[in-house]
Amino acid sequence: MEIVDLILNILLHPSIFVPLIFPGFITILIIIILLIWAERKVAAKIQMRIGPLYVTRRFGGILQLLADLLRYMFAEVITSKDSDKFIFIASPIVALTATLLPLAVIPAGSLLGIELIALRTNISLLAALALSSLTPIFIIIMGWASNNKFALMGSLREGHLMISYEVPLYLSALSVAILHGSLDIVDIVNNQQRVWTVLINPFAAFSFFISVIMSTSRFPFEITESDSELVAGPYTEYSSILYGLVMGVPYMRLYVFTLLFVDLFLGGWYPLIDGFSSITLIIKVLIILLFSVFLRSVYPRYRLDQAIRIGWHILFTLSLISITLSLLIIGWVM
Amino acid sequence: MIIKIINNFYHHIRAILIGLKYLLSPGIRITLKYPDELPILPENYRGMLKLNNELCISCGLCSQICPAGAINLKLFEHEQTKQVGRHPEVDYKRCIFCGFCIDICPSKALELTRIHDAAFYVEDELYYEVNRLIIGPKIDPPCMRSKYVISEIDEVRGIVYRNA
Ligand code: SF4
Ligand code: SF4
Repeated sequence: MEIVDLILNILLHPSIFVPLIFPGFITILIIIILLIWAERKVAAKIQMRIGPLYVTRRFGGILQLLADLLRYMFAEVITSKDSDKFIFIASPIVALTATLLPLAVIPAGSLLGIELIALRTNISLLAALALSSLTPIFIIIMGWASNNKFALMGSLREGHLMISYEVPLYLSALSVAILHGSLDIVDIVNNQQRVWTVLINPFAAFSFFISVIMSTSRFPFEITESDSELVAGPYTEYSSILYGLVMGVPYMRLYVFTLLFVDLFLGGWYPLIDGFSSITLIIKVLIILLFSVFLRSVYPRYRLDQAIRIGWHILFTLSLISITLSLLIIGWVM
Repeated sequence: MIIKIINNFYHHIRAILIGLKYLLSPGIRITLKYPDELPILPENYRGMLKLNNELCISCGLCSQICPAGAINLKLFEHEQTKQVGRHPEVDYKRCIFCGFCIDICPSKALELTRIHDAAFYVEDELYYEVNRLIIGPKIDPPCMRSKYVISEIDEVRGIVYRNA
């Protein structure tokens, strides 16, 4: 019995539970499997098709992605002759890890009395933003190491996009910090008990959300991969399990950012359900995730220059407006 | 400038609302569930080819007209009738199913089959020599579940499938 207790204690300790179970790895895996299925089904519904069907036919093909993952698992890993082999294989793994790092500082409510935050610091917002800026670097490295023209062009596009979404993303997140007078996400969420940030400063929420869509290459900003032009962008040369990893990276990034978005703008785990506040949080996250993948079926793809113009002309302006608004509100309340 | 941005914003919202409308409205699906539902193809469907070697006059026109260069003529002796002639062979790795060879054939020796979904285990099987072209393409019978459907144009839904 003691051993069981010990294992349970270790498992339920926040520094294990958060990265491994919720909101970490296992939750992410389930959510990604469901999310990609939902993405394909929603697009199919709107385009009058059926979508994935034949794997678990009775449930509308819900396990399609699991079947795909199994196939990736047993496929041969092919590294092309001209690629930089070590970096080529290492960068997807590091990118995946780097994508998940911000989860350490993003709070996810509490479950059965356990506070779900692995590392509580008073600069967690800054830490989350800084850690989240690691992934694009590795995506660029992937394209570089592949030594393939499509991959290189995809990387270039990612680089161009990166400079146009990161500035508005961070500025609008910082405007939230100014508004709540804290860089600690837990404080920011607790401040939103009565009124959500999105109602006080909608500009910040808007520019943050569009920047997130841009940074995770959802439509209409699916410019890095753009499979009709660049095969798969930086991921062109990847096959088998490595492809499975790199395909998961944008979705995981989307999930992490959505978690942050809900915490910053949609009141996190409020309204509270006693002891199960994470459930409120995850429902909000799921709604936002579904909306972001739903955009695929509405939009075509922007050109690179259009996306950069949107980033600098509209989002950057909006984030400046949101900072001004936050300062004004703070001054008025004071 | 401001008016243009607001106008753009309005159009984005409209696009998303239309998407939501299609998402929530009861489903119109125009997909044919192919292996389960087999379409009955029209009379002149351009499928794979079949040769009647007794009618073929070895003129070679089919080989000349073929835009994909899929037809070669080969000297061929029929096993039973001992009839000898130069007859076409078709390479389905190249054929684009345009049907030109059928149109040009002066003696109607080439004919269309409506078979389009043959599958091959070996790449070489895609090359139809004269004796196989005389027999024509063969496919496995459809599985038990499949049923035949007729496609019809519908004013509202675009295309509908009716059980045959
Ligand atoms: S159908 Fe067209 S492409 Fe095919 S063999 Fe005949 S002429 Fe050539
Ligand atoms: S199949 Fe028709 S066109 Fe071709 S050689 Fe024979 S008769 Fe001529």
